[in-house]
Amino acid sequence: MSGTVAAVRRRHNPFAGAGRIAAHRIGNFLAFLLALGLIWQLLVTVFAIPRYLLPPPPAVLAAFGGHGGAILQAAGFTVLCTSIGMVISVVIAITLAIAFIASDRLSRALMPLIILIRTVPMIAVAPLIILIFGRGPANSIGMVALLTFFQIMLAAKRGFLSPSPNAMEMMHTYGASFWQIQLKVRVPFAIPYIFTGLRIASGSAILCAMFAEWLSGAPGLGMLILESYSVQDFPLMWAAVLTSTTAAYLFFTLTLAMERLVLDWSR
Amino acid sequence: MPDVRRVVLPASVFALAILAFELAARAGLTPVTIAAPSAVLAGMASHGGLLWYHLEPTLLVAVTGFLLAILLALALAALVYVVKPLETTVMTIGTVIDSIPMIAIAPVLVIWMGLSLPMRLTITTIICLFPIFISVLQGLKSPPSTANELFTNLAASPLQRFRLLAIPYALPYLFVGLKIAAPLAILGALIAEWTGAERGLGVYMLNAMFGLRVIELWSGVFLACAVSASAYMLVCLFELLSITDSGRRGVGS
Amino acid sequence: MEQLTVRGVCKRFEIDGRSVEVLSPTDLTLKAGEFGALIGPSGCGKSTLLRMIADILPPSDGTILIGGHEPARARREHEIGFVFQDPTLLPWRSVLDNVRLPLELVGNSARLSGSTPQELIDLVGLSGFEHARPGQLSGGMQQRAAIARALILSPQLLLLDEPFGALDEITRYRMNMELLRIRAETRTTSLMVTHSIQEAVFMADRIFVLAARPGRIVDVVEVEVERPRKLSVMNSPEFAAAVDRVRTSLFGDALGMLDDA
Repeated sequence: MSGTVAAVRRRHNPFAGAGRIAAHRIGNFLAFLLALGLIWQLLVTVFAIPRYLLPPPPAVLAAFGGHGGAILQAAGFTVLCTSIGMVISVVIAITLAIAFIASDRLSRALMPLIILIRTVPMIAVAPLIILIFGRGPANSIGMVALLTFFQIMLAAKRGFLSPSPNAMEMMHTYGASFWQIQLKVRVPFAIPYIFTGLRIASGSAILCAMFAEWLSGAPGLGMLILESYSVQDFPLMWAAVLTSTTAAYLFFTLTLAMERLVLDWSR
Repeated sequence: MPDVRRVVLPASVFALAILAFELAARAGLTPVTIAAPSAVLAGMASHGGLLWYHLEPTLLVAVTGFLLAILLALALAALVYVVKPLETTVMTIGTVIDSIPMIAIAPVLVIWMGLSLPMRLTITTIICLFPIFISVLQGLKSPPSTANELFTNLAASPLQRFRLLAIPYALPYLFVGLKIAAPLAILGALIAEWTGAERGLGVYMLNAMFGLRVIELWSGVFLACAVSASAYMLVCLFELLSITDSGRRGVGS
Repeated sequence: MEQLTVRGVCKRFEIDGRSVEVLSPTDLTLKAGEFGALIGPSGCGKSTLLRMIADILPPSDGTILIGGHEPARARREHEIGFVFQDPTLLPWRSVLDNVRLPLELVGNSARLSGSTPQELIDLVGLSGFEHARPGQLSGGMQQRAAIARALILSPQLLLLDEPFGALDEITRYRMNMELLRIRAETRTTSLMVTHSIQEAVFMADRIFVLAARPGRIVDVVEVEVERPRKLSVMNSPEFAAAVDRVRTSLFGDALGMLDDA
């Protein structure tokens, strides 16, 4: 009964489902932060952990207050670079996945190379990317795009190939055209796969952008961590770490909510 | 015969791409940051001794850290398999540590242990540990329910169940984890060197980057990629040798 | 004398804090050497009953005796052989090593009175495939290996959970005849869960017909068809009568409705 009501309401407002997921996950995260803070304080007190190893939570909170502007600015830079990198990566990945589906020969020529390249941890290439793209935001964007590209491309390819021959044949017997079959069978089948790839990639994307900043000195969270460490401001360092973890979590939540939105919209 | 064709096509594409880069670089069409492949190879050949001087400590840290991670992951997975209530705790701690960015853990480790070999090993081991642990644990839990019922029916002891059922079922999963972790071990060693070291492939790359020595940087990156790809293929080879039943390879990947 | 006695055995599961009765208090007996069949729709608790007899699941209430002993003791003494629907062979072991697995688990004190692995492999018709891996065998051949494994410790009671349910009908008939032949040699008391009325009548001396929600025995059909049985007995009036009786117990009212329509 309540399920029907929810379904009807969702049809009126496609944002309801996505909003619910986001609210639920953010609530969970706040509860997690609270628990983490308590355990953290307990550990620091019980084991008398020195400040340079792990400063107590109040000191970290104070760092948030004292350097709020700097943290926000750094986080904004990192999140912006990550988002642009992911968008570029998604566009190229899906285009290439479609090309691979369309041309078997292309797939056979390039897929083995892609699988080989995938065995290389992309962060190891970071110095080269910094050399090519310079020390500004471009190298963070390039790193994020490079790191997330493979996961999203492979997921999209798997998704486009996932409809069973039965489903395609069923559409064929109803007289659907080639493009109708692609649009009504392949694309809907692929959407969950693409979002799975996005989800996996989104978790590591921010960390990757921070890595690039850490090496290049671009003014993001990674640089903030390095700077605060070099001036021995450990509360600020942990504040930046917490911010990066939060940003990664929110990024992950955003992809979940978007997936829900797209699915609700298409139903 | 079809096997040969499967290799020839991508290999020729690769060769063509290299050739295109070469010609473009010689014609001066590429930016100065893109080195000609022939120049990179020549540079590597003439600096062979220096490259090995830097590669050696990196390999040492990567291999040792990787082996340490395997041992720890196996012990931890066995412990969690035997003492089931531990699973949630270990998984939570693991996920938290795994989600703290390495660039935040590294400084703490440096404060703790200094710029030393143990610090570099710790970073490498932490990076490799979690993927192996998760795969092995998943593998230990992978025997189908009827196989577990069979061992119950045969009144097998817990040790027999572990040795004859759980471990063989976990073996293909172990290799899934090792394939993820082997390239990560190289990465771990590089990151450890980036936090501060005097020798190592990571140091070589970073110095080349800051000094804008294009050919040196390309050779360093190429070497790092080649080493990770070889590590991956070495694990595949071990898998081929230890799992003779081809149907069980690459499970769950 | 009675080889298997089930008295007042029932099973309740807790689902979302509610107690759901999967199997109502149930009685059944099998004499030594008899072949029983459990037939019924999905969810009637027949597999659950089989697993309680095998001491894989504990009953919520009631008693089970196998050769006069509790199932736990019978299981420890390896008096129960079990054949699953899925052959459940260990894929990295050869057929011979799979059949030998129970001997390994028991240790060197393995009873020597039983057949050797090779004898059992011959008995189930897998001679020549001793060193094949399960992955190289067809479903029917895998199930033969599973039957040999279940018989290696000469159990008093053989339990079969839809052993041929995953096979095509032609292979199933062949496996039915093979199992009858094997049993004619070993004379092991057997209880088999099945979905097929034909299979139940062809194999069993006694058929327990179950209904679902809650699971319970609604009829016990004695099969009067003579042994040894060949496929031709399926044309006999006794066979038809038993099939008709089982079908009526299973569908009762529904059959009448079909007639009306």
